[in-house]
Amino acid sequence: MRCRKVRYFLSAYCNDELSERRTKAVREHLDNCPECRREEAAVREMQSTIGDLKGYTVSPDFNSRLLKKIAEERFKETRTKAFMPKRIPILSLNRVAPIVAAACFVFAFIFAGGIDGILINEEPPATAINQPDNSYATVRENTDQTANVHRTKDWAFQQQLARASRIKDLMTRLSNESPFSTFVSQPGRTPAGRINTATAIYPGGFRTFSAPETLTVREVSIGN
Amino acid sequence: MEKETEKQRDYNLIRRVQNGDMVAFNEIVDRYKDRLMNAIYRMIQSEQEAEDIVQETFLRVYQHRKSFDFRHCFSTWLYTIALNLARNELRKRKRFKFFDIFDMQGHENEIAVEMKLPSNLPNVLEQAITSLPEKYKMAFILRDVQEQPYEEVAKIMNIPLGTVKSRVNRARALLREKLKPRMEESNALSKGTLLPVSLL
Repeated sequence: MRCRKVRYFLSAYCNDELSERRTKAVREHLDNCPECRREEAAVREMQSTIGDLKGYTVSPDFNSRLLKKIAEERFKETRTKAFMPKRIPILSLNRVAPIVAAACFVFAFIFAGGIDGILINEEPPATAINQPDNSYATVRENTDQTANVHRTKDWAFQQQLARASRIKDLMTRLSNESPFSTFVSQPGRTPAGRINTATAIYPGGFRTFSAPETLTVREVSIGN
Repeated sequence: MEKETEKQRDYNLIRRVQNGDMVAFNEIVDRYKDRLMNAIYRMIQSEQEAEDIVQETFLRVYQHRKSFDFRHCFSTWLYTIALNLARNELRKRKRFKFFDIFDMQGHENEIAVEMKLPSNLPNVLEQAITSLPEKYKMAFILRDVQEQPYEEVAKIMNIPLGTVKSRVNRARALLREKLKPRMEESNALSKGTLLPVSLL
């Protein structure tokens, strides 16, 4: 192997990155070439200097600043979940079905009314002449059903609002008890779905707060 | 073997983070924050911006924790995010060149004095790394400063393995060239050779 080629492989040789065959060839050359040996020493010195490079460290408040950002992120996730539950009530089958049924009924009535309007000058069928017209009563009944459906929908919305307000109350409580803490966790829920706990994070640890009715405070510290 | 344990430990931690364990997340941050800072600072050359990038990296890790692919190494994922952010920052800088008002007030001599100050070998090497072209610098920092395996560097930089090897080799050769005068000078000093007055 010539000097030029050896110089090319020298840094890889010093880092033990060459194949066995090439390592042997470089070593043989180095044994016989003082100039390349000097170069090898220089490369090794440079390598050892890499280990002496200054280490840069992050500022002491790095973790707390990051955790604050994470807390905001977690809160965003929680808030989104609070207002947009996985199952949107208005689209669930048991809510959609009555609305669709009511809409069909109304359309059917309008359609029938229209036909009546169109056929107003035509002779009524002979069988229907002596029957009483009870369609008005049917419409009234149907309107009531529609109102019931709307009330159901409002009730679901009220439930959402109440949930949001509970989260807000918990957050206010957290910020009063620990001014530097941030609301982080998705709130814990009772089996019935009521929010009963929330976790705050602040430099040095977590704290789980309970809802006003149970009044117990659980503290979890970050292990050091 | 040690690397394998490290890798396994990372997997355990990220799995815990996926299950909502914030203590595990804190541990990940502590394990990697300084390593990332060392790599990013050398790319960006601004302590504040490098720290912001490291923060953003961890934030993205948290945001996309569920999409981590366990077929890959966690550190590779982390470095890829960080280096992409650093690249974006460098691209932004190229688009908007900032002029320091200090440069415009006739302080050139003071700056020149400041540039001459680093005289010990690590400082000279640091400056030489800074002056490397970006693609060589990134490969060199990941391989020789951060001691990542070639395969991981290739994945992080999204380039073939052979290209990584040649870039690292080229970077080392360039650094050797840049350091040559300084090393010869220090060798001459240690041997007690007389030096021209200008060098003293």
